[in-house]
Amino acid sequence: MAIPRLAATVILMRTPFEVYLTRRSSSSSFAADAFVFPGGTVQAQDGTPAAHARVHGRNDDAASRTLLVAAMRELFEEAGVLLACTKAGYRLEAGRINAEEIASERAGVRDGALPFADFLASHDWYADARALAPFSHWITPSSEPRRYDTHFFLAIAPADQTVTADSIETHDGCWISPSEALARHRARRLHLVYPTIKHLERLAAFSELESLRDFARSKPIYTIEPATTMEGDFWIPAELEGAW
Amino acid sequence: MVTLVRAPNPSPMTLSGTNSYLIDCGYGQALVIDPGPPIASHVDTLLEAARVQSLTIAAIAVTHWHPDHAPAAAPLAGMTGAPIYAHPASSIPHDRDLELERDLCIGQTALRAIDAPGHTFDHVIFYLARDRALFTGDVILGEGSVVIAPPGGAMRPYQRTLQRLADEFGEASVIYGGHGPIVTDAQAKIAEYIAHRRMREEQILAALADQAQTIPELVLRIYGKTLNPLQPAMARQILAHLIALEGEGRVAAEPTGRAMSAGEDTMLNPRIEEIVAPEEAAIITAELGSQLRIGALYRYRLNAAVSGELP
Repeated sequence: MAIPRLAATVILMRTPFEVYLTRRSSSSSFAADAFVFPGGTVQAQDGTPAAHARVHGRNDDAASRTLLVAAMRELFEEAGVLLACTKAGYRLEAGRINAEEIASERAGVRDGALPFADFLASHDWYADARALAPFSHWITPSSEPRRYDTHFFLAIAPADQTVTADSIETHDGCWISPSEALARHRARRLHLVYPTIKHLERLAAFSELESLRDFARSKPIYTIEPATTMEGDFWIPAELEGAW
Repeated sequence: MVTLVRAPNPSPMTLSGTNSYLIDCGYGQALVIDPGPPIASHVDTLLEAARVQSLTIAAIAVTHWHPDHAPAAAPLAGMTGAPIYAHPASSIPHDRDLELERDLCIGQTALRAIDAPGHTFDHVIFYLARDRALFTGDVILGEGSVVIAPPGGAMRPYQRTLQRLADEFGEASVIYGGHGPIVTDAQAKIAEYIAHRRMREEQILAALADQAQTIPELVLRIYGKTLNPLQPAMARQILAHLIALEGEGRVAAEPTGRAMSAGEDTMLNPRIEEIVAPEEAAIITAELGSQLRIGALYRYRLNAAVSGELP
């Protein structure tokens, strides 16, 4: 039985209510060609004291900080969005983060040449933990050879930043409403994997970010590991539908 | 040497109290497994147990997040400076993720951290090869049986964990469980736990072979009709079995379409906070998974195509 790898995923949202999905490249080892939320596995660099020192906003334990750094880094790598603040916790003024100016640094973070913490430090920016709201916790069924222990976070896209897909892990990105994504999936025009589908179904019950945010604040997080049916499909029993 | 320090929190769920363990790891260093509930006198007793053996508490490890096992980790870490280790998936605050299936080395001693999902997703068992001893948390107790309840608990992962202990730790002779006495015949205990779950599932399948039933009906049929305060635990236990069987396509759930009676609702959704003190309610709620409200009443029936198979 494979041990799940720790991973962080960010559900990036904007008004009117849409979420950002990136298409995994067809050569990806996992969920090739599927549209997914930006995210990836936790790396050693996410757990260093240098990385933890670059998190602002919550007095979290080490394990939680590592996850936050991983989520921030993956969001930056895959969508080009940086949820950053100053040392004192102020939001950066509009336009401070310019995608074109930091494009080469983003490439460096993405290919591992530039540690994310070093990149933040060089600008004296801090990862703004307040911008990420923990939402859910999924573990891939133990029947799978490749398993992830994934923490999902909600985030609202900063109005002054443009979201841009990278060209290596993901080669396409889109803003889409959860219900539209599900409709296209049913029409076989959009390839989605099970955890993405279940999250989109959950999100589709909301029409605006504010009500979703209130829900996320009051929602307890229960770990869910879907079962695998005899046909090999992932499955959550009806009794647990609302319980994750 | 292993010292058992029992927390003063006896209850139906925690039996005579939570077992905290202080392990002499050599070089004057000690590991505490499951510091227990946040009771100041219990933390003092742990510190005193280390002091009389001239040991420094060098590390704290938690088998799983439940409120009768983990919360004292934070004050104990504060007083000793020892780091808290937990399962990487654990929601409890911790300093270091345990490396699963690898050794945790403290002093001169290595303990294998075994991924042991089922009771909770973040459960670990420690194997102390030096003493041929398993520290099983709430996977195996010194007496009685364990509640496996959704959403945190899952029956098939739990059964696989038990089977792994039998298959891979056949040399283990002692079990230090999270509650109850120390078990000196580890292999017999593991076999008993495996057999108990199989027996319960066969009872459920046999009952459903007679006729489709709801969970409250199954509870009365399998555990007897006498009113029993443990009925909500039995109901959740049966739910865990049914969910596993549904996933395998052997049982199907169909909504009854009617509202629950008061009695059914009490059995499925016990209002624990109205019965016991808040600290105890938190423990019972975690054990039963009763924060999960079961909104609809389902009737379960065997799937004809595969009803003949038994595990």
